[in-house]
Amino acid sequence: MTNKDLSKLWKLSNILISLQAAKKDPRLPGLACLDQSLSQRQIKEKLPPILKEKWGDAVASYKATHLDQSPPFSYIVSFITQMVKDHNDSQSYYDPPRYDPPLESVPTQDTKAKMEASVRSTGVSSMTNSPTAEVPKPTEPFCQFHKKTHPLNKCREFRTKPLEERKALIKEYPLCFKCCESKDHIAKDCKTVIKCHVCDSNKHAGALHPDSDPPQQPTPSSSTTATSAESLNTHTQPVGAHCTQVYGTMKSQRSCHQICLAKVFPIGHPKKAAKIFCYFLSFRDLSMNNISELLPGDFHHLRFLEELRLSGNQLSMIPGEAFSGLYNLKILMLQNNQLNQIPAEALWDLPNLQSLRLDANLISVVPDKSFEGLPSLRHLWLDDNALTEIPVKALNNLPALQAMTLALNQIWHIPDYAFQNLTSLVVLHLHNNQIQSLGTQGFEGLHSLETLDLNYNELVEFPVAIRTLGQLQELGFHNNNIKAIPEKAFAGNPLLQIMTLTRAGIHLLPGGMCQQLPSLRVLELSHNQIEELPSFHCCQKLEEIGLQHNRIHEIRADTFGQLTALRSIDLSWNFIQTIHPEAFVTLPSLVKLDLTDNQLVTLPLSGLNALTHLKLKGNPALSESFPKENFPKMRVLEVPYAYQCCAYGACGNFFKVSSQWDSEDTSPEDEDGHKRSSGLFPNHADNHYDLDMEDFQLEMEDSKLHLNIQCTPSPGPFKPCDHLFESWVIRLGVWLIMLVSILCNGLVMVVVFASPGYLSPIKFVIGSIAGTNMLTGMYCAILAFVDTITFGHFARYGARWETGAGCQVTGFLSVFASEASILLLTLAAIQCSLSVSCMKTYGKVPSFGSVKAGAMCCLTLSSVAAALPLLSVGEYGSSPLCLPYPLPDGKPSMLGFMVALVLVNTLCFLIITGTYIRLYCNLLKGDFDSVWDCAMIKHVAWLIFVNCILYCPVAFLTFSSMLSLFLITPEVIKSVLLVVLPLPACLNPLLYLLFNPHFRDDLRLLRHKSQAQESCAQSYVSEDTEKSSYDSMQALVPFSDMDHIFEAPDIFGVPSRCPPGLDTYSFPSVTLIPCQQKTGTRRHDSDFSTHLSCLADNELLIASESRDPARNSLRITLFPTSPTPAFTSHL
Amino acid sequence: MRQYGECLNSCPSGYYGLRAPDMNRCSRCRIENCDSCFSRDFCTKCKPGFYLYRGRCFGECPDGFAPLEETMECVEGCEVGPWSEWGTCSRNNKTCGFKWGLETRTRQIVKKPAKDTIPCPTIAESRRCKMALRHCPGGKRTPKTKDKRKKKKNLMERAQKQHSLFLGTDRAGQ
Repeated sequence: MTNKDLSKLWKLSNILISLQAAKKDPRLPGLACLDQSLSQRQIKEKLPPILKEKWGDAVASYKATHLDQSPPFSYIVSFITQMVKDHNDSQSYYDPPRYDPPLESVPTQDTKAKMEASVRSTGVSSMTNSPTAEVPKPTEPFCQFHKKTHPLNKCREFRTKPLEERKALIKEYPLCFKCCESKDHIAKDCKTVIKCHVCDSNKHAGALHPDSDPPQQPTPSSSTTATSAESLNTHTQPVGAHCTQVYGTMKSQRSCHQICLAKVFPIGHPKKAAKIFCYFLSFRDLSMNNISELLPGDFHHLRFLEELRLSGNQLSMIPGEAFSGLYNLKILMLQNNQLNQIPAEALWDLPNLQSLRLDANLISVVPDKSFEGLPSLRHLWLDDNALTEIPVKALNNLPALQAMTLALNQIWHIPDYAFQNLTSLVVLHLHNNQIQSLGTQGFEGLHSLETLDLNYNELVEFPVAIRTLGQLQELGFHNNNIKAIPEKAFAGNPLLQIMTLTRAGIHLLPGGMCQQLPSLRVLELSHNQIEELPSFHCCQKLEEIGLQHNRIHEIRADTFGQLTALRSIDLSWNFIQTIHPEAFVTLPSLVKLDLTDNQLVTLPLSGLNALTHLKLKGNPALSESFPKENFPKMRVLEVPYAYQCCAYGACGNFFKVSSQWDSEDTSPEDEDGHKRSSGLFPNHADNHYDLDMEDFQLEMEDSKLHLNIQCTPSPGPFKPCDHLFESWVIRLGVWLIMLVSILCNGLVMVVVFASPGYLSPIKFVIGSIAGTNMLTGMYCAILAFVDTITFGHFARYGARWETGAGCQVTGFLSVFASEASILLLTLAAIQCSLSVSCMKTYGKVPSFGSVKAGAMCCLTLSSVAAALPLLSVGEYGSSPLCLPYPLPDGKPSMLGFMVALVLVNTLCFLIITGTYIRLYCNLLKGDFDSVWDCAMIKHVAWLIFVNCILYCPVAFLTFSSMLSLFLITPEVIKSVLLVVLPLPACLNPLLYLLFNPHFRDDLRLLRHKSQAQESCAQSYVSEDTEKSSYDSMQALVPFSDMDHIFEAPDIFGVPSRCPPGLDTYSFPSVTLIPCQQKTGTRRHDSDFSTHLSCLADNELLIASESRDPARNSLRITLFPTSPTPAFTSHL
Repeated sequence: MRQYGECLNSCPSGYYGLRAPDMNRCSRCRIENCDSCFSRDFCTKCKPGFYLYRGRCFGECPDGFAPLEETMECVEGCEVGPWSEWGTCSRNNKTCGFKWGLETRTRQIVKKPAKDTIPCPTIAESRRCKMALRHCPGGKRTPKTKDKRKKKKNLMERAQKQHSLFLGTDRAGQ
């Protein structure tokens, strides 16, 4: 060190101050050697000659006053600091207060206090060398071990030591062994009541707690939080240092400078220590401080400062000479301020400034001489300002500029020779401006430019000026509506490697484009209107090509011919129908192919053997299977149908698992970037500058070499690989439902419609319901049939079945049947209710014709509903069950359709319930003369009950999947859809068959009829039956809902070809179900005959001739021939 | 709407601020061995041990560039032209009369290094050669007394001398 080397001296003093601070820490006993004269001699050797002499004098005077002792370390420190003070002009050159920003907003603190704080906050986290017995003399009444304000009994650090060592230490102090607090007495004399705070024992004090396994809490010093400074310095340090609490009242985002001694090096490496030290001194962060004004000369004394951060303040102007004297400043950050101008004069004499950040200000004008004093400036940020034109003259003063951004301004024009002097410029960002015109010589002089970003501008034609950029490697041209690329557009850019021409409205690519671009590696042409592709044959180095969201129709054989380096082709969202069988044959490096959402029918597999990524989703016509053997390296496969994934094993959970790994493995920033770029900003995702996510995924996939192939959509219960019905329970259930519903409903229909008995409107409706239920049975039959013929290898036929007409028909059948059944049930309920109220008011029931019309209406409605999915509202082919019910990952339109259906059905059930409650109320009031067909009403009630109950899970399922309230496994949904949904279709007829008296009557009638037909043929008349029919006449009771008066047997609808005598057999078929006792009594008054008032269109009247007055109720005789009345009903 | 991440005043090391109309965010530098960067592919500060050149980081500077340890940058190194043809074979400025002589070739410094501390490669070299004319026409024959080995050593020394002399004149000439 020479006499003139003041800066080194100054650094040395800083080191020494830090060492002194560190020496006070009792855990660094090695530093005690600093007090020895040997080490002081080493320090002395470093001093310049003048100071050596002075130090000799100082030692002599010290020895004179201190009885020939050699001076302590602090002495030499104070000496050197004093010398530094004397030799430096600036008064406060090294004092701690200079770390206080010399601004009004910062409270000033006492120097001494700060010094204390700095010492206390310097902590060493890793205790490589445990403290030895060399402990300073106890001078304070507290923890002598730490010299801190906690009692020894509470000192955790102390307690981590072995008991013996603790005892030895206490003995050495010497402290009282009992209370461990005072050294005035010994344990024998100790009067203190002690209590161990660890185990609550009163035998020993906390400091002597015999805990062999001390609590693993961090020591107070090492638990101090680390600030940003720590992250800055950890990379070189085996002993981490913490810097905390530098300024008590300020936020922690503060530079620590020398207070934070980065590393307490063993003596002998002062050079290294100095280096680290230097780093801190060279950095100053005053960002986010609300500083609104800079005074000239604020930083005058910081001549060694290399980085100054003033970002995020309120600065609106920079006064002259604000940064004068910062000769070593390399980085100046002024972003996020309110600057509206740059000083007009060359105020900044910053000869070494390399980076100047002025982004996110309000700068509208950059005066010509602004950058005159910045000859070394390399990086200039002027983005996000209010510039309207390029500061041509100011930029002329920056010949060393290498990277500049003028993005996010309002620049509308680039004149000729705008960047003439920027010969070193490598990166130029001009995106997000309003550039409309660009002079033909606009980029003249940019001889080194490699990256040009013109994204998001308003250029209407491809700029000719780009031809002058001979070194251009990367061109961003996103979102400029240029419509066309002229011929020879890239004639002057032979080195161009990456080109982004997305969202540019391009219709046609010039044929000779690739001849001009022999070095092109990445070509992004997405979001254009390209219909036809030229041959890319000449772009021999092409590695990636992005053509998504265009209008390409076909890929010819020569389109990608012989591009040996091509790795990735993105052709998604086009209209590709045909790909030439040889199109990919000559692409040996191709690993990624994206053909999502096209109109492919077949995919030629030749040449695709090396693929690792293949995306074919959204090609509904592409149902062929892709054998695993064709893609030995496949890792990610997306196919149109889940069945095509069956060959690749069930690995549906792979992706979820791996994405969980992501979040664990990577830093949060990565994760964030990934999500943001993918989710929230799709526009940015196609910008070439933001391929983070894709790269990230690639990295992730590369890093985890899984043998599993990730194939989506993954097969599941709704996309089964082997069997349509995966379990035998479901299969048997479906078979049962099918058989029962087809047989029973057929029986009901036959009985209802074919029976010669009177077809009442309600019965007609019941019959219709049976018909629709039979359709449901047929739906089940179709599914069961499909299950049977595809047994074991459903995946082979799944896609074809789903998309085929069979599934449409099946789905139509199912929806039509279920809707019709519910609507007809509604009709039945309404009919029941109406006939009651009609009779009450008008004295007659609605006509059969209106009921028929209602039934027709119901059928029409339900067929309309069932036809909607055929018209692409909802979808039948989304699952092999051909039901439009929302699957767990269904489309919204389908969900909407299903919700509408469910809502309509729920409304129907509400209407049914309401009308029925009303009906029952009316019946209970009993002010009707009529006697109702209670069996039918009851039957309808049963139907309603069963249908309602069974519909509940379906409705619940729909809504829960819509609102995603509950997590219902697809298996459950599938079994509900397969078993519960068609269950009413087999229960309804059973109810009728088992419990409804009409059925037996009708059946008997039918049987009789058939017998009668036989007998008709044989002309046989049975006397007995005739007799019994006369008996049964006694049991005749008014017919409920049609209320005919039975006058003449031949009016009864008996086929006329049968002899009239057989008509008597018809009589017993009239079932009588008295509803009210009152009617009976009333009928008693009316001379055993009741004229039922409601007149059906048949105008038949049934005469009641028999009753049982004794019981005051009507006795129903169903089978007069049977010895006892079969059925007796009371209401 | 969910939000990820936190708002920072300035991007952390290894990231650069990417400003866009709707959102500013920190994006990762994609350059190898880069500590802080200007944009995705332009580095402003390399990791320790790497040299910065035109926005990229190099473990060893590319051809024609020399590492500058102070700033850890690659600066333009000394650029030399092609070698000239070998000169005439001579000894003691004579082209005859000896069996062996020295011939020299040179090259020019096309571009000086950016810093004086960066060395230039050698710009002149000599080699032993056989003289075309063993005997000078009309010259006196040199006595052939010394043994060959000594002679050879002598010749090498002289070559060195001549070389250094040449270099000295060359330096002075520049």
